[in-house]
Amino acid sequence: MAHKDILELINIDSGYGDIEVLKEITFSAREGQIVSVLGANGAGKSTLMKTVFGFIQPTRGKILFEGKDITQLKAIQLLKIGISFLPEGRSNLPAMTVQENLEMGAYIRRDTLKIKADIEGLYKRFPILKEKRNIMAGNLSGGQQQILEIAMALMLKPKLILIDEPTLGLAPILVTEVFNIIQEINRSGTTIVLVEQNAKRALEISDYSFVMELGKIRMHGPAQELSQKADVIAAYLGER
Amino acid sequence: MSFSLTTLMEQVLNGLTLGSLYALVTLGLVLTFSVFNVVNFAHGDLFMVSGYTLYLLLNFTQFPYWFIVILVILLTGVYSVIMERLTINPILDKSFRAHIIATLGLSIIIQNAAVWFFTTDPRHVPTIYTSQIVTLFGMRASVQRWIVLAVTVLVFIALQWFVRYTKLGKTMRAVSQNQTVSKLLGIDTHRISIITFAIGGAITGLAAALVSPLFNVYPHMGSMLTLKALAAIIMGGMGQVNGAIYASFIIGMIESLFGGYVSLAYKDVAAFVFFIAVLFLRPNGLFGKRIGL
Amino acid sequence: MKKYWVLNVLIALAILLAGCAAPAATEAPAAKPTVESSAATADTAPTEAPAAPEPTADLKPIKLGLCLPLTGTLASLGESYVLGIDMAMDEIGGMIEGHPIEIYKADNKANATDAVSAVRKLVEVDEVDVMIGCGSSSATLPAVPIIDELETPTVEASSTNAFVYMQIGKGGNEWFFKINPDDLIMGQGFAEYIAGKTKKIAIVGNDNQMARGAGVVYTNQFKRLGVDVVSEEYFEGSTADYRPVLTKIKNSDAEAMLVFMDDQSCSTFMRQKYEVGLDLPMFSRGSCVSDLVNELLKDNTKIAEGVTEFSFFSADQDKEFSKKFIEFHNKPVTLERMSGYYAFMYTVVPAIKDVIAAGKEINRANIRDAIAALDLDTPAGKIKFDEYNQGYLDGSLEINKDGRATVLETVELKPVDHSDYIVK
Ligand SMILES: Nc1ncnc2c1ncn2[C@@H]1O[C@H](COP(=O)(O)OP(=O)(O)OP(=O)(O)O)[C@@H](O)[C@H]1O
Ligand SMILES: [Mg+2]
Repeated sequence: MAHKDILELINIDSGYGDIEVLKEITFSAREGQIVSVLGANGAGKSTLMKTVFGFIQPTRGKILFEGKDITQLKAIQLLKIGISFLPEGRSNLPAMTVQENLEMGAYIRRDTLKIKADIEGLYKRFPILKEKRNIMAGNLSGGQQQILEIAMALMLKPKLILIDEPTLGLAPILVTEVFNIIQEINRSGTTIVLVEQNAKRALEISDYSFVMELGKIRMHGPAQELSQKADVIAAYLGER
Repeated sequence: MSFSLTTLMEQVLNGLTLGSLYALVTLGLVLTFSVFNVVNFAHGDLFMVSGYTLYLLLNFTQFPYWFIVILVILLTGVYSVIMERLTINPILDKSFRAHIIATLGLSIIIQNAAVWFFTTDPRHVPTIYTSQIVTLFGMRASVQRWIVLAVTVLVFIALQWFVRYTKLGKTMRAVSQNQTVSKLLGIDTHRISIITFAIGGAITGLAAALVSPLFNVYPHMGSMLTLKALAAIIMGGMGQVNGAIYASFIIGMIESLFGGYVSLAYKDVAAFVFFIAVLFLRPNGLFGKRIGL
Repeated sequence: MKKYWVLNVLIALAILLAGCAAPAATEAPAAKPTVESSAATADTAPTEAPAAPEPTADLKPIKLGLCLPLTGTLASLGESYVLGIDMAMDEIGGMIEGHPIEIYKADNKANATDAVSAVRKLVEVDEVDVMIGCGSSSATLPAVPIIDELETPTVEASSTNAFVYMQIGKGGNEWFFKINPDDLIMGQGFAEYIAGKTKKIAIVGNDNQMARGAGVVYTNQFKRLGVDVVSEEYFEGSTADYRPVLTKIKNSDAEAMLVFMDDQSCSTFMRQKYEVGLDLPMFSRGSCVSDLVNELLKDNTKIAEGVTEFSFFSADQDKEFSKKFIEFHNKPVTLERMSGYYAFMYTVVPAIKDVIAAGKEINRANIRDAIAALDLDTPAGKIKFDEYNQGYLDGSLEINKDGRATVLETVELKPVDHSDYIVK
């Protein structure tokens, strides 16, 4: 077997206090793939991400990473075993410079010297960050901030990155750039779980997709197959 | 009264020493405030307890003053952590109202406990430096007062360096900017809370050990200190360390110049009017552009 | 919500503690264990009110209300009164002719609003028979009309603002008695004394009714005596830095200073005066020359050397009291500590004894009449009221030498016409 599942959710129920949002979610992501999660506003995509990253505890079910149970783990432990999370909206430190943000991305690492080298490596990969290294993150454009946040996540060399709507509010040309970066990261071996509202573009770059509606998985399959059923997906996304 | 340049010079220096005193008291509060957005109304009372600690150590031990200062710094760090564990930590994620109720309650408890233990009699805690007078730049002041001025500047520079260049300092800045993002990066915010309070407490201990010999120590002294510190914090731009320190010096300067040239009775009013004017013209405070530390 | 428990506990504790510290009714105060006095008071601890000789259970208790500042900047004033009363209670075994004494306290925080509610609480809720208070001019002035309305005999022993005089006794509040002299009564003699020493003076005081009232009295006197008042400054009680005003006086042509301050402000003030090198003779009407101030300045006796104060209730006048007080509380004597003792021991107690001796019922009106009729010689002067319910204790001119207050002269004080004062 060439591929194994790096992330598995089995029968997950989750929500906020008494409000149950996710119902019986079963989900898996294969190692080395880009897996996208599609759905209309309020479908529960972000809730799914937060549940995986331990920000909210599922009320039922199990989450496995590389076959091991991670249901009870906290953010810091997940970071250590190789999972990073880029939530919806801005997730940098606006009053710190680009350089400092990258350093903070490596917060849990202890190898100070290698951190410096890794930052230089990222500067090569994203020249715009090098150019802005001494600028406060809050003063970057939306697209630049998104790139910075991805770079921060890369500081830990994660095996899996969860990205929640990275292109929200970006101009079309920047959307393409961000998607290119995601594909590039994926090519270097990192598994990606990508939440997107723009189904068409998400399907273009992903290997496998899940479609959510009202807290449930309604459809899933290889991205190419799902592209054929664009009209069905559109129905779920409320884009009739 | 005729205008004289030496008098002006002296009043400016008075303002600087008074400002440095306010700054030292404010530092401990603004640190915890900027990182966790918790307004600690018991901050001045921590200073008071620290002042009594100094009083006890000076009167009932034979240690030299410098050693006692270190002890007071360490002990106040510990008091501050205890305070954090018992009252601040449980309400860290709660509303502003919960912060006010809990810390005001704590303040009342500490003050009453102090009345019970020490009575309302003021105590003076003289050191060998309170009666040694030195004239520098044309101003006569006790060595103790010069020490306060020098230490304030040193602590301020050290804190700048700490916050800007050390990993812990950067982490505190990160937490102050966004707790969710900090958690995302693997920062244990509760641990940082303890550390921040320990540092804030240590600075408060240093302030008490150096400043209280210039005055008397008494149970209700904390309320006035908390108010002065809060005014400096708000004026300096809600939780900006630098802003609060500059604001402390500005308040000291206004009080001194107004007290010296206009009227001592209304110096607080003058400082207050300035405070309101600042809030009116610059709602984010004098230096309120940046976020966080 | 589990984490809220600490918060709840705290709030509960806070309310509880605030309650016993301030306005809640408390029985005769037990000795507070203090760091230095615990050993000394162990064998002489003041007994609880209904203890000691024989609790004559069936005799009606006498309720005494204390309207005093118990928190805030003048908290130590209130506590001082209580210390004096504690000692007196111990001496009489907590009862007068077999009637147990119950003590109720209310905190007036030395301000107008709290003073009014403190008086109302004592009279209407605790239903006291007689009161002592309100300690400071700032609380006494607003309390006088309320006390008149509520018709409860009250003894005051430390406020010196001369406006009180015109509001009490004949044509005013017949229920309020002041055993200590006010600034107008003391002012003339002291102003003349100062005028003999200097012709240019700077006045500095706390920003309260006592100091501002004294300011009016002394500027008037100085005008008459040809003394030039170079500057007049008042500051908040919480002020910690007097250097601006000291610098200003240093660079003015003042030749002496007259200050009106409480002990705590004054000790800090004098320390900073020494620090800025302001070497002017200092006169004081307030609490700058006292054992407490000397205690606070004991590390450097030069600071308060030569300060001359005109006052009443100086520790030296009643040596027996001073000796007993220091033994009992292991604390230095201050004016207000004597005030508390004298208001109780030499005014309230003898008046009630007179009521009982005359076979009359112990009630507010009878106690008032008995106080008005008192005629006692005490070590600190006469307790005998004029038609304005004003008593005339002796004044004393004291000077600080080598960290000790020494009486230069004891002055018999006489009634003064207050009518032109009121016009101003
Ligand atoms: N903190 C919260 N507390 C209570 N309910 C929440 C919370 N966050 C989200 N919800 C609810 O959970 C449901 C799913 O929200 P979620 O944010 O997961 O949707 P989403 O699919 O990410 O939508 P979008 O595309 O708008 O980001 C919604 O009904 C929302 O109102
Ligand atoms: Mg979402």
